[in-house]
Parts: sequence; C-alpha cells; structure tokens
Amino acid sequence: MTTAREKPLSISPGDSTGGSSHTNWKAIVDAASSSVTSDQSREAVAQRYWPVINAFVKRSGVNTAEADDVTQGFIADVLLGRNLLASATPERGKFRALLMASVRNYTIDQLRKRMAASRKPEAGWVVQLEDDTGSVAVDGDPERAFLSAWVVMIIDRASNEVREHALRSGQEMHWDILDRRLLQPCMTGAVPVSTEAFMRQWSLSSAVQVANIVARMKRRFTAALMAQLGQFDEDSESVVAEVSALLVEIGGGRR
Amino acid sequence: MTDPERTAVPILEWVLQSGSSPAITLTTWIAKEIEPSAVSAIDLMVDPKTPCATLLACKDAFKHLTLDGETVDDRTLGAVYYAASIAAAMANHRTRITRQSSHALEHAFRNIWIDESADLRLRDIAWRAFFTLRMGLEATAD
Repeated sequence: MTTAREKPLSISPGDSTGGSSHTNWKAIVDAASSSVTSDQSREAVAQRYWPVINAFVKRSGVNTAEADDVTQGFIADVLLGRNLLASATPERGKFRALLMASVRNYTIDQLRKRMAASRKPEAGWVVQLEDDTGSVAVDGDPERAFLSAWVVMIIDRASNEVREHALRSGQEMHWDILDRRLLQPCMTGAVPVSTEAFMRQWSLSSAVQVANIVARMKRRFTAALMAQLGQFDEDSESVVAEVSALLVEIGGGRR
Repeated sequence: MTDPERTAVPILEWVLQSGSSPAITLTTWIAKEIEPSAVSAIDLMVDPKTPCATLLACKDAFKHLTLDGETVDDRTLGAVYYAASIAAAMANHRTRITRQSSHALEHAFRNIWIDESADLRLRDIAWRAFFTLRMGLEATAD
C-alpha cells in the first residue's frame, strides 16, 4: 500500500469548509480502500478534520510553531497512513471518539519523543526516570478544544450547504434572513436584524412573511445540521443523543 | 467566530426542538417568531392569556403558510391553525378577528372538533368557538 507520506496531500489549515461535499462513513471507508476514488476521499477526509485535530494538538502542550507539523504528521501517519480509517466502522462506535482517542495518543507520543530528544545525552544512552512514565503535562483542555472545533465544523458545513442550496434556488433573500437574523447573532454575537429592516430591504409587505421565512429556513438549516451529524449516526434518535451529549460536553453540563 | 462553546449551544438546541413532524416544528418556530416565549403554536393559541393581537398575528402567519407552505403537510397544518387562531379569539375573548362568514367559520370549527387525530386542546377550543358563534356571543374586533 502506498503511504500518505509518499503522496503529499494539499492540506492547509483552515481549509476545512470548502465545497459542500460530505465526508461520511462511505467516504471514510473509500479513503481507506484502494479504489480509484480513494485519493480524492483521503484528501477530503484530511481537509475536513485538520482544524479539529489541530485544535487538540495546540491545547496539548505542543508549541505553536510545531503544532501544524504534529497535525500534519497525525493525518499522514495515522489517519491516512495507518489503518485508522479502515478500523473506523459504525459498529465500533462514534468516529468522533475514535479520532479524539487517536489524536490524544499520537500527541502524547510526540510530546514524549520531543522531551526524550531534548534530554538525550551526547553519549547516546537514555536514563529512564520514574516520572517519565507518567502523563505528559498539558495546558488548557485539549478535549474541550477538540469538541468545540468539531461542533464548529458541523455547523459550518450545514451553513455552507444551506447557503449554496438557497443561492442555487434563487433564494438569496431567504439565506440573508436566516444568516443575519439567526446564524450571525448566534455565532458572532451580531445584533439580529429586525423584521422591519428585512421588510424594507427586501420589499416585503408584511411581518408574517419574515416570520414564515425565518421558521422555514431554520427548519432547513436544522435538517442540514442533522444530516451532517447523521453521517455518523444512522437514525434520528442517535442524532438527538449525539446532540445532547455535545451540549453537555461543550455547554458545561447545562443538560 | 467567537467562543464556539457558548455560541453553538442555541444552534444545537434547534435539533432537540425539532419534533418528529417537520410541519409541526415549522409552526412552533413561526409561533416563536410571533411570541418568543411560546412553547408551541397550540400552546400559544389556546392560552386564555394570549391577547387578541397575538392571535391576529397567528392568523395572518398561518394564512400565509396555507398559501405559501413548502409541502402539503405545511399547507394543511397552516389551514387548521389559521382556523384555530380564529377559534381561540372567539372562544377566549368572544372576538371575531376575521371577515369570514359565520357559515364558513362554523364549517371550519366543526372540521377541527370532529377530527379525532387533532390535538384535544384544539378540538376543545373549536367546540367552544362553535358554541360562542351559534349563541351569538361574540363581538367584532375593531
């Protein structure tokens, strides 16, 4: 099998939300295979998960200058190079949990290697200290950073999908109302645009038109969000359970 | 993007607010646009404390849904809730908020109350509105 190291990927930080292509179990399985589309799937998987992996690494005690290298190394060596993708199946549980556990192990391993290298005497032998077997010190909360990046990734992709669909369908007004009334206020703290302002801007004759569009687009966005989450959970009950779990984990136990 | 741990929460909660029926989810969110504290469209409409002005807004919003809904379910539910908002004003405030004829209203109210699949609270409000109409107890909104 050709390793990912031998086939450099055009991965770049922050390039996770381009396009509307979905990476689901099918794409992950395809990426791990030797099919004719596997290279394309591998690149899509790598791009998609870069920010999530990078968020964990940066909060794990790896210095900023090396964080991108460790992220790239994980993607090349573990996510694509070893059998992580092949071992990811719906039966084995959530891909999110599998990915986080793998990133954690890899990052700790990298930190230990770096610490060991910095202590290695010129004579070439290493004394194993008692406390070297303990956990590597980390700053911040890498798991929380990973989960936050995961949620942002899901929301960004749902947002891209709804926007592209709206613009393709000639519904620029619908997207604008959803974005500036609901999404931007949630994601950036922007002040929600008033019904009256939308009526003026889009020449709408009544407030109920705005109310109907807001509700309709919110439903469409939620469906897209569930579709993104549903790529790893087949049924809607599992999606709801996953959302509840995410809310507990990122919301500081509000549920 | 600022503090995703905080800002993503309300968006994720939309998933939990979604019911098994997309049409009912839509009417709930329309109701929340009219009255942000509303639990659902039915809760908002049948509450005796809901003012006539709010029921009038519900009537207009659900009429719009009847005419412009994306799916048959949306339009059907829009028609039922349109009639229910008129019934709520009539039953709870003895006020007519429409220019529809009494005959048309009686027909619409009866259709709701004989529908065994409809929410019991809607059936009750439709029955009480029918009674109010028949007894000539209602006034006309200004």
